[in-house]
Amino acid sequence: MSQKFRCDEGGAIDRRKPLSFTFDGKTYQGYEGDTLASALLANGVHLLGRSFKYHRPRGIMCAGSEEPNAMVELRTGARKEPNTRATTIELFDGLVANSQNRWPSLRFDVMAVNNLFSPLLSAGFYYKTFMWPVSFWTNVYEHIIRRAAGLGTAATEADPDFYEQCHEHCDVLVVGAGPAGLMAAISAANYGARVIIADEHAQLGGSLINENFNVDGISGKDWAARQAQKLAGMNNVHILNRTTIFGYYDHNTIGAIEKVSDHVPQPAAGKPRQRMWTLYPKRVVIAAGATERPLIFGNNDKPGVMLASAVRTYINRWGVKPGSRAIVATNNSDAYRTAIDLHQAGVRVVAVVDSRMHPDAPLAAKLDALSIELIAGKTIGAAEGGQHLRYVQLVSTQGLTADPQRIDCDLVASSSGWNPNVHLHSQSGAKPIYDETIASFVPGQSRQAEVSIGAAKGSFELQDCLDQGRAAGAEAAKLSGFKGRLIKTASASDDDAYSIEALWIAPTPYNKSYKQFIDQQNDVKASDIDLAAREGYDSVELLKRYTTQGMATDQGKTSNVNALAILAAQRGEPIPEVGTTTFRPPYVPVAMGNFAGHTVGYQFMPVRRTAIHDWNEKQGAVFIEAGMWLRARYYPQSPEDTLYDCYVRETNATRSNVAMVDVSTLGKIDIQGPDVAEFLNRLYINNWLKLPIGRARYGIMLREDGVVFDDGTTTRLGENHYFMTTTTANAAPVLAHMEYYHQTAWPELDVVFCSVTEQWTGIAVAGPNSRKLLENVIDIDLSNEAFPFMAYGECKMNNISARLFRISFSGELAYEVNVAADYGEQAWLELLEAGREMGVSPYGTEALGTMRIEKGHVAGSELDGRTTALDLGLEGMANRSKHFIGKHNSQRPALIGDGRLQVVGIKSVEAGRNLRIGAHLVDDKVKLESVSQSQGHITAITFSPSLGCGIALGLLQDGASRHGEQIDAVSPLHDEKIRVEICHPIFIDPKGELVRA
Amino acid sequence: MPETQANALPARVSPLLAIEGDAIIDYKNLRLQERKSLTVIQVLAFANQHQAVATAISKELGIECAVSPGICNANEHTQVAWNGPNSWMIIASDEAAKRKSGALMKSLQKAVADTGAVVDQSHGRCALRLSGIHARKVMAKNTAIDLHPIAFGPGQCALTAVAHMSALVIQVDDSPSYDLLVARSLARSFVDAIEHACHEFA
Repeated sequence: MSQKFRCDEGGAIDRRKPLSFTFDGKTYQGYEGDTLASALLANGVHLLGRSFKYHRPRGIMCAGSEEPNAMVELRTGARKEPNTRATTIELFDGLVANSQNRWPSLRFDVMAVNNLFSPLLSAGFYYKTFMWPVSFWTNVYEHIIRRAAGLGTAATEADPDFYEQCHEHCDVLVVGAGPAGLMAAISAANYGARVIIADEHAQLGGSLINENFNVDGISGKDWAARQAQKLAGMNNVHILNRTTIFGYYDHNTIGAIEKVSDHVPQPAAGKPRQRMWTLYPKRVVIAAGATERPLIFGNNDKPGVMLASAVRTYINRWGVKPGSRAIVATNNSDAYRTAIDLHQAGVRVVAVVDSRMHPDAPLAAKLDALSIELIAGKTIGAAEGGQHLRYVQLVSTQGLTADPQRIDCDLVASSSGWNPNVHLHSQSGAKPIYDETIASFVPGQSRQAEVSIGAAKGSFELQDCLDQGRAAGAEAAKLSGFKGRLIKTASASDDDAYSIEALWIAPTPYNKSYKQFIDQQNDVKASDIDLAAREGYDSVELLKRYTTQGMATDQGKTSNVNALAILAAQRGEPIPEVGTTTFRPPYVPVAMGNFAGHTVGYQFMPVRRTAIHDWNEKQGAVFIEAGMWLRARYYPQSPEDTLYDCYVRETNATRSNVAMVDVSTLGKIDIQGPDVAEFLNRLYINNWLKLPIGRARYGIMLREDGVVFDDGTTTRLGENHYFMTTTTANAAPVLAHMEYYHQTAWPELDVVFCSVTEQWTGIAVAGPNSRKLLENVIDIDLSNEAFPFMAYGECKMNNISARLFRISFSGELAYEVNVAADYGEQAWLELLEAGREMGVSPYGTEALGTMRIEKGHVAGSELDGRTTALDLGLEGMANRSKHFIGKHNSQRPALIGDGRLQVVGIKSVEAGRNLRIGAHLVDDKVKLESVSQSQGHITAITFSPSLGCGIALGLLQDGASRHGEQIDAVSPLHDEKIRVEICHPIFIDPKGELVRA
Repeated sequence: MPETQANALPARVSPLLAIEGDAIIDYKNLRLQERKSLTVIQVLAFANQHQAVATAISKELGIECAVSPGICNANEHTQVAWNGPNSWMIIASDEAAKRKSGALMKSLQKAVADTGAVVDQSHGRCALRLSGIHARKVMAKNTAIDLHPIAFGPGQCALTAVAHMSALVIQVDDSPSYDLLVARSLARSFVDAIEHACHEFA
């Protein structure tokens, strides 16, 4: 039993359950209920890390999530977590932690030399010191700075644990389970409201556990336990312990992190490490407490200098004595409690140093009764010691220049007053206001359905906290529509009135220069703030960015108000005039894994699979992502088969025989109603009023601005029944486009429509032998006379009902078969069987793309959101005597003038050289290095097996009138320049005879 | 023409074919199973016909077809769920109803006649049932809607995102059981996400 600084009794720890842990390789003992920080302090370990910039030795300053210094690397290997605050890590058996930002060891750190060079490392030093030569910034300086400054190192392996997200609605969310929060939750729940109460600790109680309070005649700790038990027994209350509310967003949406498994070595089976909650409360009661400010004096960062409240918490919550000879330094009444608690724990309190001339008499009497010396009108000017505090120099706060008074001590408990935790209030959009009486910012006018109570509101007296909780809980329940009765009051017996006289910075002994740290995590000193102000960075927002004040992982919880006060003093203005920085989420650092939740790895994005997916997979098809869909790109026949081998083979099979492709991913929309023809006539640029039943038509849709939106076919299935197809990419946007116009522009049109993309498996059978193949399985007459190009019919394929369309994307004689998706694979197999003797084969999207380029069919890369029907050579389809979406805007001068990029075909004139997608089309006078004179670009390329050369589609200025011209296609990225010939975009069968064969 | 096979349709192949057996999850207090081979029909009312269509459906099925949002009435083999303004989703087990496949589609078309559109979605949706005392917690991990008994109970339905995917959620009973209808193509990703959320209750 080596916990030399552990009290014999007291605290919310279980002395029967010792836990063993290691820090920097050395093994220590702690107890269940400890944090890493309290267990280290119990073992007399105060040195935990090195500071960010100067590598100064740092210890533990706080007892909670506001801690700026005591950051460690927790765990090892893949579970290593850098920059974890020792003050918030619940101890578990076998815990391993290491100090960070030191080399070779914590006690002897080479980079501590930075401390000597500190005059060079003033505020904004990286903007000034490393200015010359410019090229050194990225190559030299940045590397050095990044190595020297810094925090822990992240794990390099993938996180073996998972995170998840969860949603919950409630009437009242209570943030914080201290005295105010507990009362509020019980009060609201008593009205019948659905209540969520969240607290960052495992145990509810907050300051009731940290302090030596009495409520209703029992200890605060016991009272809190009773209330927690009461809440746990109410079925309308959800207790979220180990949960930090980190963000307050619009519409009263709240973000929270529950540390589900951080207190165990590794998560139990099926449990996440952490869980992110999105909460939707009707009302929020913020009982988030307050954060104490440290006094600012020379070397105030020495290990052994702690917050007064933290010292009390270590004694009361964990039964740990943070030192043996203590000085309590304060500018307010609250820290007197620390002296009393220290005294009761058996720690020698050398003196209470109160910067005020006239401390509160009742408190003075209490100290007197315990024979603790009270020194008024003085404060600590500087702390001294090596890696731990050895003594302090007291100086007068009254301008007296007497010699400083030296007092030996190993613990300073300092308090410069309290900051209500207005973070969530501020995040909700409200503006905190400065309250002179407590020298701090308090919540202002609410902007959302929230209210702050207790210490979070600036009420630091226990009775006020209990009363405000009781009232606020009831009020929140009432505002959520509940009726009921107030719960009984709770009465606190031992509470002192709070008083403060602000002292923002201590004079230094003999006016010597000392490092007086404001933001300890980013090593920002009072002198940095002075310097920034002198250099003109004297607005809060500029100061913050210039000095990095408050920009560390603790977001300046203990330092922002001190910094602001020092800036205000520099500017000679009152604090409210200087303002405050806006608090932004998250309140505490949040692991990124929480935002991803389970959607990592193969679950990163949902995948859409067609009914033929499994067959494709069995065939060894190589897939390509098309939006969320996985489509077969090509079908290797042997391991040596390349993409090129496959698509050439598949294209040749289609052009010379027959092949099949899965086109289930195309968007499909069922449209019905008396006014469908008119609806289509307005959506598409071409004519739809006279489409006969049993016929399909190709159509082009524009956006309102006249640019081409999508293309596809629509088939008339019956009198008032149509079936539209869209491109795969635009399936949802086209449906939304139709909904929008139907609901807002033409509600008078009697049409209804819905997506049936999922219902149908689409299979295109293409090639000169496609008719022959289908005749083996289809029960209708497929002769050219009975079923011509663009015909539609219902049929049976063996026993499966099918819809048959004679449409072609390949330019060959082709059909598209649609069957209900659960029969999709069966239909695919039957078609393969029907064509087996003919040698039918499947083809993928790569061959599909090749054939569409050969046919000059425009697709996504040409429909790029900038091209008009005129640019694409499709203007001939437009019927300008009717109205359609985009009609007028497509005629704007800039869209019909000279110099438009128009679709062209492109052929390489250099034998054997392939074209490059994205290459710019430039005049031959232009040098390779400069493509500023680009006249267009290549949008799609392929090797055309039919033509035996590389071909492409592209967009070229006035391209339609430049067929036959030679030009250069350059790709500076690849240092490439190829001579090409511009031609008509249709390379094969320009008259379209094949599809009609 | 090939010879016609004597027997009618081939067996329907579910998008979750790869998952063996009926139950995807079968824990003590949590079960996820696919409801296979259902008939799913979307009915959309033409202009000013929503009452007429609702009446026709009610009469045809003997189940009250609600015109107000978020309601799903059902009998032992058929559910009629509100599916957006002027639209309903009818989910039926032909087997349980001892009906021939396709018969419901025909009878609804006849009943609705020219007051609306009757669209077969049977193969376009994958239907799952999540049930057991942990079902609500599993749902809370995947959807933002309020499923607390105060806000959502048996006979209610919602069109919402579940695990980032569009779904029709119907509460069947207060065990609780939820029926989830998702797009066929997304079925496996959807099941992956739900399974993941179930693991902690194994």
